[in-house]
Amino acid sequence: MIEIHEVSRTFAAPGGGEVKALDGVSLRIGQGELVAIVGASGSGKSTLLFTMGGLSAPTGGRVVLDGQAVYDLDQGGRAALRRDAIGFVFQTFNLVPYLTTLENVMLPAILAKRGRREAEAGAMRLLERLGLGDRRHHRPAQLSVGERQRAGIARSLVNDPGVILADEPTGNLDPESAGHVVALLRQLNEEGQTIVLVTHDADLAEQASRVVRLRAGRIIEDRPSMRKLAS
Amino acid sequence: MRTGTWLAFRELRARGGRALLAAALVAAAAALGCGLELVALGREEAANARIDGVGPALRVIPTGVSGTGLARLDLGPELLPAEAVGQVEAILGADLRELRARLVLQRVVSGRTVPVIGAPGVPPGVALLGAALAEALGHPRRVDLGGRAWPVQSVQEATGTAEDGAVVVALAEAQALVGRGGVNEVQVFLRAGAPPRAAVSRLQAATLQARVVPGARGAPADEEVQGALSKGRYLAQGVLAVLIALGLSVMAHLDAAERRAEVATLRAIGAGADTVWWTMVARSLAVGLAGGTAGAVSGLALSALMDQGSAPVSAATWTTMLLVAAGCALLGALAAGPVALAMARRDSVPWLQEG
Ligand SMILES: Nc1ncnc2c1ncn2[C@@H]1O[C@H](COP(=O)(O)OP(=O)(O)OP(=O)(O)O)[C@@H](O)[C@H]1O
Ligand SMILES: [Mg+2]
Repeated sequence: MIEIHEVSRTFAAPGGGEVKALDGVSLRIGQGELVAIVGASGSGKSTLLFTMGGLSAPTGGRVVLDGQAVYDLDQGGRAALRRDAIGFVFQTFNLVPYLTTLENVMLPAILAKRGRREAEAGAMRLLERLGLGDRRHHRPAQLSVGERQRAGIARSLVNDPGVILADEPTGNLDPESAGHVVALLRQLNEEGQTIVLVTHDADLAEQASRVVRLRAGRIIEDRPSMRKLAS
Repeated sequence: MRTGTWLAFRELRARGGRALLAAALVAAAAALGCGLELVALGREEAANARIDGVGPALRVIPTGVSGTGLARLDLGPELLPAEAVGQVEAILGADLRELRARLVLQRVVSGRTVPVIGAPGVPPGVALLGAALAEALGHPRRVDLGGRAWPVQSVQEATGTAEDGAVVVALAEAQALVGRGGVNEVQVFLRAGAPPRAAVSRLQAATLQARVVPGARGAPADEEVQGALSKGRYLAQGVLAVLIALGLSVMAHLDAAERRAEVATLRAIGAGADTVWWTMVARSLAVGLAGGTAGAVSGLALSALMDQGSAPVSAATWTTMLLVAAGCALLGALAAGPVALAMARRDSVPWLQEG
C-alpha cells in the first residue's frame, strides 16, 4: 500500500553545506501492518514519515500510495490525499486550540465537505469509542495530555484513512497515558488499520509487527518485532 | 471558503482580545475620517444648495459667445438654433427641474446702456428692474425703452450678479424689440441631487449647435476655502487609511507568527492552501469591517459634534458611511493577504513540532 523507492531528502544547512536527512531509502509497507520506525535523534525518522505522508517532497526517489505517485500530484491534489487517505498523529497533539474536542475531530470531515451532521455523527462515534464522549465540548487546554492524544487519534480516524502516520505519539505522555495510546493503536491495527509510527521507545517498538531502524538517513535494520516472532 | 470562514469566526469568538483591540483602533481612525468627510460633505451640499438658489446650474448659449460676455449679459445678436431647447430637455430628462429660455440684449434704458432680458413668466407691458439699476435710476415709476414708457412692476432682489443691473421684460416683448423670434440663452435648473458636472458633460457630449457653460459656483473666496478644505481633507483621509492599514497588518503579522503550528496542522490534515489563506484573510476582513462599521456610526455622531451647522443626513451621508465600512474591510483583507499567502505556501512541516 505504501511503496518508497530510493527516497532521499537533503536540507540546506543553515551555516552552508547540506544535511542528508534521507539517503536512498526504499521501503514497502503492506495493508494491515503496524510498522515502528526507530533510530537515534536526527536519523531522519520524522522526515521519512512526512515524506510518506505527502507533506514534504523528497529531493530524489518516488513515493507511491495505493498506486498513486504522491509527488506527481500538485499541491491541491496532495492536500486532498492527506485529507482523505492519511491520518496524522503528532507528538505535540496539534489540536486547534480554539475549537472544541468535537470540532477538532470533525475538522478533517468538514474539510472533506462531508456535511456537518454526518461529520458530527462520525466524530461523536469516535469520541465515544475512545472514551471522550463527555469531553466533547472541552477545549484542548481543558483536556489532560492523554485525552489530547486520544482526541488527536480520533481526528486521524474520522475520514477512515488507509494509513495512520504517527510521529512519536507517546513522546509527551506519562507512562499510563502512553500505555492507553499504545493499546488503542494496537487494537486499531488488529481491526485491520495500517499504522506507521515513529518512536524512541524500544518497548513500544516491539509492540508493532515490524521494526525499521534508521541511522543517518539510511535503513540499517528491517525485521519483525519480538511480539510478532513470539506469536 | 466556508470552512475557512467558520474557522476564522470560531477563532474570533474564542480569543478575540487582540482582534477587538485592532477593531477599536480601526474604529477610532475610521470615526475621525468619516466624521471629517461628513462635515466636508455637509458643507459642500449646503454651498451647492445656496448656489442653486441664486442661479442656474448651467447655461446653454450660442457658440460664438464668450464666457465673460455671458457674465456681463451682453450676448449680442446671435441666437440659439430653434431645436436647442428640445434637445436639452431630451438629454437631461428626469434630471431637469426647470428650463428657462431667455433672450438677452443690450439696450438703452432711461439713458443708460444696460442688459435687457426677455424672460418667460413676466406679464406683458411691464418692466422688472434689477436692484442695482433701480438704485442708480433713483427708483423710478417707469423706464424708457425702445421709445416707450414701461411701468416698473417691481424691483428684483439683489443677487450679487450682473442681473442686478438689468431690466427684465416678457420674452415676446424682447423678441419684438429685435424684430425676430428665438432665444440666446437657456438656463438649466437641475433637480436636487442631480450632479451639475455630469449634466454639463452629457450636454457637451451631445454635439449641440451651442455652448454649454457651467453655472458660477460661488464667489472666488468660497471656492478657495473649499479647495483648501478638500486638499487637507484628502491628506487627512490618506493618513488615516495608512494608519488603519498599518494597525491591521501589525495584527496580521502577529497572528501569522502565533499561528504557525496551527497553519502547519491544518495543512497536514488536508486543508487546501486556499482554505488556510482565507481563514487568515477572513479574520482580518471581519476585524476591518467591524471596526469600519463602528467607526462610520461614531463618525456620524462625531460630525454632528464637530459641525452643528452642516446639512442634514442625506443619501450621500449613507453612501459615505457605507464606503468607510467597506474601505476598512478591504484594508483588512489587503493587510492580511500577503502574509496569509506566504503562510499558506511556505513549507510548514518545521512548524508542526511547535504545536
Ligand atoms: N527544515 C530543516 N532544515 C534543515 N535541516 C533539517 C530540517 N528538518 C530536518 N533537518 C535535519 O534533518 C535531519 C533529520 O531530521 P528528522 O527530524 O527527520 O530527525 P528525527 O529522526 O525525527 O529526530 P528526532 O528523533 O529528534 O525527532 C536532522 O539532522 C535535522 O537537523
Ligand atoms: Mg522527529
